[in-house]
Parts: sequence; C-alpha cells; structure tokens
Amino acid sequence: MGSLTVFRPAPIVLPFLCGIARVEVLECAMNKSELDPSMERLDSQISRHKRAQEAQKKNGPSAWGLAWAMRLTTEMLAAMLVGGVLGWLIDGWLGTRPWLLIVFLLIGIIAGTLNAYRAARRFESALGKR
Amino acid sequence: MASDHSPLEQFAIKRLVDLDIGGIDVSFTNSAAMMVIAVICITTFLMIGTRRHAMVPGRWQSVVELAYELVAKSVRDNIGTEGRPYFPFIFSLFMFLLFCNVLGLIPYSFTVTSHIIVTFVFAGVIFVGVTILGFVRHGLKFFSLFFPPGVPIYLAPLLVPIEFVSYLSRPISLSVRLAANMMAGHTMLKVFAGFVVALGLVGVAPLVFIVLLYALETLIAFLQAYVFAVLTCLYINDAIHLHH
Repeated sequence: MGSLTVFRPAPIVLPFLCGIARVEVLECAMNKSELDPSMERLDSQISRHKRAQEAQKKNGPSAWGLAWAMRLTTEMLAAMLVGGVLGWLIDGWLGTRPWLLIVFLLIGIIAGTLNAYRAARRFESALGKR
Repeated sequence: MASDHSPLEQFAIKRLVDLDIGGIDVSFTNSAAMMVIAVICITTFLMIGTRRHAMVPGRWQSVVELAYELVAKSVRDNIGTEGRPYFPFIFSLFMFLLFCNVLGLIPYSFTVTSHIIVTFVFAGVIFVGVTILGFVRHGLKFFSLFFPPGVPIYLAPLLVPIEFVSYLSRPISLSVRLAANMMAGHTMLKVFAGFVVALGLVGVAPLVFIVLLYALETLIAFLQAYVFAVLTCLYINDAIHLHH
C-alpha cells in the first residue's frame, strides 16, 4: 500500500526508468482491464469475429460449392450434346445414319468426363491456394 | 386467361416500339430496354464512384474499387501479366452480366440473361474471339491444343475428336449455365409466389421460403456473373499459353 503511494507520479517517473514503450504497454493493459469495460467486450467480439471468418475461409461458402457443382454438370452435358448433334449432322450429310451418331455420342461422353475432370482438378488447386 | 398465371409469363418478350429496317425486325423490346437500363446503371455507378479520387475511399468509391479488384485479381490469377490487355473486355462483360442478373431480381422487371440467345451470343463472341486470338498468336501451332506434343501418334484418331468436341462444347456450357441458372431461379420464385396467393393464411410458409430463396438468387446472380468472367479468363489463357 505504501509503495503504491510512492509510485503515484508514475507516468512522469517511469519513462526514465523503463523506457517509453514499456509504459505504453502498461497503460494499454490498464485501459483494457480497468478503465473501460466496453473495450474488453469489443476485444472479445473482434476475436470471435476473426475466428468465425477464418473458419469460413477454411470451409468455403456453400454457394461456391453449388456454383461448382452446376459447372461440372453443364460441362459434362454440353459436351454430350455437342457430340450428339455433331454426329447427327455428319450422319445426315454422309447418309450413314445412325452409326456416326453413336460414335460421336461416345466421344461426347468421354469429352464431357474429361471436361468435368479438368474443372474438378482446377477446383482442387484453387482450394489448396486459399 | 390461364396463361396470365403461368410462371413462364415473366420471360415473354414484348415489343415496346415497333421498328422495321429493310425487312428485318429490329423492334425495341422489353429485353432491349433492360439492357439499356443496365448500361445506364453501370455508367452512373462507375461515374459516381470515380468522381473524386480520394486516398481514403468513400462508400461509392470503395464499392467500385471492390468490383475492379475482383476482376483484376481473376485476370491476374488466371492469365497472368499478359492478360492485362483483356481486362477492359472482361470487366465490361462482368459488370453487364452482373447488372442484368441483379436488375432482373427487381419485381416486374425482366431478366435479360434468362434467355439463352442472349447468353449464347456472348459465349459465341468469346468463343470466336478466343479462337482467332489463338491463331493470331500461334498460327498453326494452335492445333496443338487438340493434340498435345509428346502423345503417341496412334492415339490421334481417338484424342483429336475428343479434344475437338470438348473445345466446341465451351460456348454451349458457358451459355447454358448462365441462362439455366437464371431461368430456373426465377421460375421457382414465381411458382412459390403462386402458392402464397393460393394458400391464403397458410401462405406465410412459402412467403418465408421466397425470402430465403431471394437471398440465394442474389448470391447466384453475383456468382454466375463471376463464373462467366473467370471462365472467359481461362479460355483466353488457353489461347495464349496453349496448355490446360
């Protein structure tokens, strides 16, 4: 108790004893815990928010997943469609219906799978980068 | 009339001003009107945002900077520094699609991007442009996109058609994805809006669902515009660097 009264003019004396930085840290700690309870609340709120943000960054928002799923599906379907239509058109041109339609439809299915595979691989590397 | 309550009624094209030039129907429709409104909105948005160049951006400026940085980052990540000349094109594309998607969410307005012909024209222009770009940059070496070097020659009859079909499928998947997303979302909103009226007091349940669906649709409007822009970047990247 006695020592406290001795150190009452601390803000003036301490800089010469411990250096300015130390005092600032001290005052900061005092501010947070004793002087202003609302600061403490704000501090905990900020850290909670930061944690939630990091968690979301790790998982990724679900809408992204939806968009990617949509992308894979259309990528696959479009190639099948293109293969089918291309086969049908060449068939009509050469008069070999339905053989080229079958061949190109198969090619379209393979191309679609390849497209989806490439998109998925890119998705994985994009996830790894984050 | 039954068609008045059809959920597909919202996609109907209406002529606002009849125009006919040399036998070609160039009437000014509600679709064209929405495109003009979108362009006006984008111009005002960007002009307000860049009116004052403050070091510490205000509200408008920071939103404009956000849009700029989003596109600039995807161009940089997907094409690299060589992609800089294509930034204006991709930025315009992204902003136009974004504004068309978002403006379409306003009740009684019209969603331009729900029509496949609109998105297909965009995708087709990109497809043709990217192909020309590839030939200009690499000449006949551009064909190595269909047959990568180092692959045994006897695989050519199998690999070349597959890669060719895969290449041709790009504009289809690009356009179908955007239009299907928009059309499905808006149809679903209309169907559930019909339930609200039909169910009377119990209609609160679908009403709550519509509110949630609207939030999702807003997100999808942003995401699909972004995906369209990112895929355009990827296609330009393929044409410049010739690898997958």
